[in-house]
Amino acid sequence: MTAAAVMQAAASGDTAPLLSVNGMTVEFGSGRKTFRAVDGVSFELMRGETLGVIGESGCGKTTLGRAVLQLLRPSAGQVLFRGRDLARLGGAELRGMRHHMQMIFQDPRSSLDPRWTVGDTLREPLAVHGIASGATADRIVDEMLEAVGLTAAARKRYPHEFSGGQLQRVAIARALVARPELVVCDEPTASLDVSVQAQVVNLLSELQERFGLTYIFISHDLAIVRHLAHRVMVMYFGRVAEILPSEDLARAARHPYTRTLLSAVRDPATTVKRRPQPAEATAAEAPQLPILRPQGCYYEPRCTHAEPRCGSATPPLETMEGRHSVACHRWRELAREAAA
Amino acid sequence: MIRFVLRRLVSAFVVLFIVASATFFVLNLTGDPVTAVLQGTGASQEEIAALKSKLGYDRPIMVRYGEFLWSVAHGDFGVSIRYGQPSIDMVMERLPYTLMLGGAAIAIIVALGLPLGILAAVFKGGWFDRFVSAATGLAQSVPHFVVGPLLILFFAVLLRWLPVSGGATSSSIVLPAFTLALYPLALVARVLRASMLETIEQDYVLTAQAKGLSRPVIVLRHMVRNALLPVLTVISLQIIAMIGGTIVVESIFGWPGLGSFARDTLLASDFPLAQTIIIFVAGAVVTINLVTDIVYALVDPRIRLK
Repeated sequence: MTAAAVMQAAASGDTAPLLSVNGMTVEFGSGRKTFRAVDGVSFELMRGETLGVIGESGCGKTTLGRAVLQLLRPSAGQVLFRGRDLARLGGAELRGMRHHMQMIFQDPRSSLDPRWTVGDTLREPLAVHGIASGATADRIVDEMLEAVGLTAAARKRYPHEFSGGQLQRVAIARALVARPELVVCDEPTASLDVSVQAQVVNLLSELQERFGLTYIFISHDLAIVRHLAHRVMVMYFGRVAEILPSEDLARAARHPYTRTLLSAVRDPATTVKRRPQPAEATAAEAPQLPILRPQGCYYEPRCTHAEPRCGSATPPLETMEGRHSVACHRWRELAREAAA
Repeated sequence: MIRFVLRRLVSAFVVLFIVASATFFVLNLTGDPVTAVLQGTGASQEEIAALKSKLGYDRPIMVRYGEFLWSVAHGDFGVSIRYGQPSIDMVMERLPYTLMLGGAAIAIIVALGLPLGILAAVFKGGWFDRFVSAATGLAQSVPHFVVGPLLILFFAVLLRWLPVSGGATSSSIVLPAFTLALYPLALVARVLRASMLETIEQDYVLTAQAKGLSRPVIVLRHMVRNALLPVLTVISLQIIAMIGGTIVVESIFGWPGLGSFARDTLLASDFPLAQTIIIFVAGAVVTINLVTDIVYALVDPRIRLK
């Protein structure tokens, strides 16, 4: 589905988002050692849409993905999916929702049980959710293997008998076999050779079209995210810095952190027009993880546009226009500067 | 697989040949058995010499070695000096008792060690985990010759639930089997706990959770199966170690098996009998190793036997 089609779907009355995350917070540890990996993140996701989530290592991307699927339970906030607040669901009820939402992990070598044949791994979700068994299950498994570009012969083989790219196809088939609506892809190409990455990315968009999937695509590779995602969410230390349609990235990105990321990409379609100015460069190395909450914007120590208020008050996520939001005190001034 | 087993059988025979030879020389170079057995019994020098000549111990060692190999290859393990009976018959008479004891011990190890390890890992840090860790630590630090008498004192003397010693009744096996199983059982529980905790970190556990499996199903189908491999290694090594353990345990409980018999035989310098027992033990070790390798391949599809 193209971005335009998503917009159209949104405009044609199908306005209820498939997923709505409100103020989701995930904390690790307790007491004074509490570390907030995801800090009050909110976003909405329409059916058939792909939200790219980018940010540097440790910014909470993976935690965000896992918390949406309740593989980690958020400490606060709502995760509304199919009319239910997943964060409030427990045990059996949550397990009953699981085949509607799935995850593709970074490394298929560790995300697939090495002792199980591919066929057994793929049949398991069908059996658990009572979707199919016996010959019907085998047929569904074979169809799914073919859909990801493998042959039915793969069914009898074990994970160690596949190459990395093939195995990620198995992992994708595993995630899709119970026909989920929402799929969280957690850096699904990061463990693969560059030559195979493009194949997997193309496969994912093909499958989205074919099965009407909604993706949360987590990556630190802006070029891939831009190619696949309708909207991009930029995260910094567990908070949302900016959310915007991916075609607006180069033109309209306002957050200084987003612009720094853009200036680091060597993709001519994405790179900002002029050479990286000192203003775009990083002012300092990444600071230590802020275990004790500092006041203000987390990006302030590295930001070349920082003002005194940036260090004292946390910038709210403000909606600029339509589907573009940014969390920066100075976005208006920066927008004017960019226009000038 | 069949080629693997055949090759291993060939090397098993090589191992047994080396063990038999080494045993023969080590025993025979320490002196002659007739003198050792008859000395101090009042037998005269002439009588000793006569028996030596009758049993062939007056001939050169290499001649006797050749004869020994020849007869062992034909299934003849010689006649016990002390008892005057074929040593193979004497071993076969006692072997079933030791196999029964070992089997019972392995059953106890598996039946208690695996659940303890699994539950300790599942409830990591809780009271059950702490109890298992303390109990296994204690079990591992007390030797057989302390555990055995304590069990006898408590269950046989004070409570009178079980016989003190011997192999006469079917309940006689309980105390020796438990004594033998205690250390390996504790080790198996600990290794399985550690191995389980490693698999908890694996992404496929998260995958299983994402599939919508319930916790017990994830633990049994995905975690335990993967965590079991190191435990197999431990069990295999511990079974071999248990062969040595039977010597002590059978002696404590008067169990009529091969272990206590081996001790008496070696102390009595009954060479043909000692050689037979040692060759049997070596055969047992070789067999256990072969079975372990085959079980590995059955449990883990990544292992191919070549």
